[in-house]
Amino acid sequence: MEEEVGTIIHPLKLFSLPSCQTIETVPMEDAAQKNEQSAELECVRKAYAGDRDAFEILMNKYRKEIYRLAYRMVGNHHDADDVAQETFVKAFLSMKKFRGSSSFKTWIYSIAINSARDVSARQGRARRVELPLMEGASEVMKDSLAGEYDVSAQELIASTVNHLPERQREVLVLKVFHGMKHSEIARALGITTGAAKANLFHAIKFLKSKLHQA
Amino acid sequence: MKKEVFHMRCRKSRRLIAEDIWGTITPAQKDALDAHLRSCKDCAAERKQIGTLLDGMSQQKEHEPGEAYWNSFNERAFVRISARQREAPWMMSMPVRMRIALVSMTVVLFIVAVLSFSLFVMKSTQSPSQYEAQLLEAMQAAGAEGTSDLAESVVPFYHDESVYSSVLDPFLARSQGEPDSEHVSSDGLVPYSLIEDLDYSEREALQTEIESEMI
Repeated sequence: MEEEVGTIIHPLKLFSLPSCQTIETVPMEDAAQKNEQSAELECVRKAYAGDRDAFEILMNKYRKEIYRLAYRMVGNHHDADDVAQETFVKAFLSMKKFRGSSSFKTWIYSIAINSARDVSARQGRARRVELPLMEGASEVMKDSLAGEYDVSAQELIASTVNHLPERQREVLVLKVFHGMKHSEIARALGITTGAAKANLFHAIKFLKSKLHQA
Repeated sequence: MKKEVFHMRCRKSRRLIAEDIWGTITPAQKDALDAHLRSCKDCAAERKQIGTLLDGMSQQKEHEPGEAYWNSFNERAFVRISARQREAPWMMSMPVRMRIALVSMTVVLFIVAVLSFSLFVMKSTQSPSQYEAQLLEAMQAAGAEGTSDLAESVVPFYHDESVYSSVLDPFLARSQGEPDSEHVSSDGLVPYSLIEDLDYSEREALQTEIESEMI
């Protein structure tokens, strides 16, 4: 299998990269981070050639992030599992489309977001009909301003996030819960960096207005 | 004028507040923002609210499906991958553009095949009466009379082009002024000049006689 992998020329033109087996054990220092990126690209190159072991390493690295992203997008375990599974299936079957213009993480996030959109559309979920937890929102948030967040405040925030327009919710989730840069968010969603920033601004404005309304 | 500048500053500062909380603004922007927040109570309150909001979001616990779920995750994904590959393994390995081109070509070929078949069927479904009329027209043009029986007798064989043509062609040739001696009867055995005065039953009897002699 290894010999077969070596004979295929990957468009990323990666040569002499460290083994992708080290991908999860490298600490996040600058030099080590570069090493990790190289190891990841080596895994991508092998997965491109159909190496399931290399793809499994990538899957082990990203599956929790993808599941959490999916859960934030679809709101329940069953659909989140479906989205996460479908994301890796699509990623493996379309590895040849990955050209390395963005990071593998950005690429697989974009697949996950599209899969989540498909699931949401398929099930025709009516997300933004009403905001049932809005009553008493200002009291909850005033209390939270004085001290720690309690369960009701967190539930309130989660509920309000779910009622954001789709694009704003996607940008907010990627930024707040996954710590992505604006440029990465833009690439994952296929929009401009300016549009990503604007959506984020409006998402925060929407949340603030809903949570702090008098 | 002074008030307008103040509002501009507030709008800009409010766009920068979240960026400041995430630490993604430049030092110059941060200095300007801090200076504005010191002088603007509204924006300072806004910063506190957004800070609280983002802080609350970051404190939210992630849903954790459990170890058993993760233990089976990869295996289930590979089962799905294998199933998907079995569905159309050779197509799945193609780039999307090639797949689209292949599907388009298949559709075009299908349409061409359907059109060709339709034309063939339309041509071959010419009714017997049309063949009969065509034959009679050729006979009349050739000056032959009392031949409707012949035309009628040929009609059942209209689907066999060789039979039909062997009857029709001599009349067509005759109508175009070609000499009778060069033409033969519908079965090609008897010169047409010998049978043109005979009616159908006489021709049939003559033909049977010739065939029995040949045998």
